[in-house]
Amino acid sequence: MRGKALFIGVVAAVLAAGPAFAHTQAGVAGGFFSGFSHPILGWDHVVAMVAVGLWGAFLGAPANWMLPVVFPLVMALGGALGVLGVPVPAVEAGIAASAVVLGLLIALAVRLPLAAAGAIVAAFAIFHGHAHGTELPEAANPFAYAVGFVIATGLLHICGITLGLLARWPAGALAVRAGGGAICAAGLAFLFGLV
Amino acid sequence: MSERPVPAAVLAAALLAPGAAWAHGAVPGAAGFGVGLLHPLTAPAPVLALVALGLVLGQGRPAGLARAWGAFALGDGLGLVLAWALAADHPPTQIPAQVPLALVALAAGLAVAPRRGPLPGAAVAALAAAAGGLAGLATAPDPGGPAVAAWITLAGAFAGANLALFYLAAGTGWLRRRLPRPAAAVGLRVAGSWVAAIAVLVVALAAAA
Repeated sequence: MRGKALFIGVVAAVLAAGPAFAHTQAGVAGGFFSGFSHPILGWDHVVAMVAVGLWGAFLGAPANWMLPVVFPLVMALGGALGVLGVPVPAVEAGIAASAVVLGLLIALAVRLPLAAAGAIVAAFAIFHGHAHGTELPEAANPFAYAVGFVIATGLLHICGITLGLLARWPAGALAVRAGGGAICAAGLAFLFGLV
Repeated sequence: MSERPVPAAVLAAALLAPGAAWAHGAVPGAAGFGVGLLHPLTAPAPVLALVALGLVLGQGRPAGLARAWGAFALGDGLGLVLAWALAADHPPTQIPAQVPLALVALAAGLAVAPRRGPLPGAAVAALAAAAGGLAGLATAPDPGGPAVAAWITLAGAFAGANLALFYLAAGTGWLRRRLPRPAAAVGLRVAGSWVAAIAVLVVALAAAA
């Protein structure tokens, strides 16, 4: 009886299923997913974004929210430069350097004043934004692409902040600093083209 | 598994299998109202402005909400009627409301992002009136067709914008009250910065076009 019921249920599910359109890369959905995946699939972006959140959490309030607020705003300005075709020198090197510097600051547990921390993060945000912005006009849907990459960037910050909460405990602080060292090493590898 | 599995499975099949019913397609004007209702949600700039304004209204005190909402509704209504009245000479698609709407979203996002309290009531009302007016200009129906159908579509667009703003503002306010105070404040600021960032890119895209 149970097998019969299961069979009917499976048949019903198979009959009821509509087309999935799982891999369409056009229109709003395509634009959103290409924008969303751009920061996530680029490891140089990922480590730097996570580092921003990690450093913010390590510095504590108000840096833990201020850095993730400053970054997307300035990143958008960098993105606007990219959209408008305004050249920014050494974008890829700047992105890799962001991981090196932010990783080093975390590893050495450097506690800069809030304004200085904001200025450092803002300076690097220009490079990340420009890299996203140059691809934006060619996206399937530029607006959806912009929404996607801003949200993905913010989510990566949240990942960093969450990891940074470990710094409340002595062993966790050590782990966070080790994470900073790993981010710095990854940045150096990107900078010198080792990966 | 229930004691009578076969009827339960048949019921599940019956619930899963039906296609679209189109039960109310014959109601006069319903299609136009539905088109209008969704119109504010299908264009990027009005959606962005509505989200930004929802964050501002959800952050504010209930006392100022009625005034701000009134300003939005008045602006939206006037914008819709104006756009429709001008539609013969200037189709709504040619009205350059996208960039001003993105600028309103930018202003609202920047108002939410920094660490300070809610905006003064007059500033929120001005922001709401601007958002409403521009959203109305951007979401009016195209010219042509009977006047009654246009009015029904206009009513749908008005309802859609106001309903969307209601859910966004109410949702923001609900989260602000439900979440722990620091988390809610940080969440609002981060959301404001995201909206402002997207608005900057919308303006840049419009400038590059």
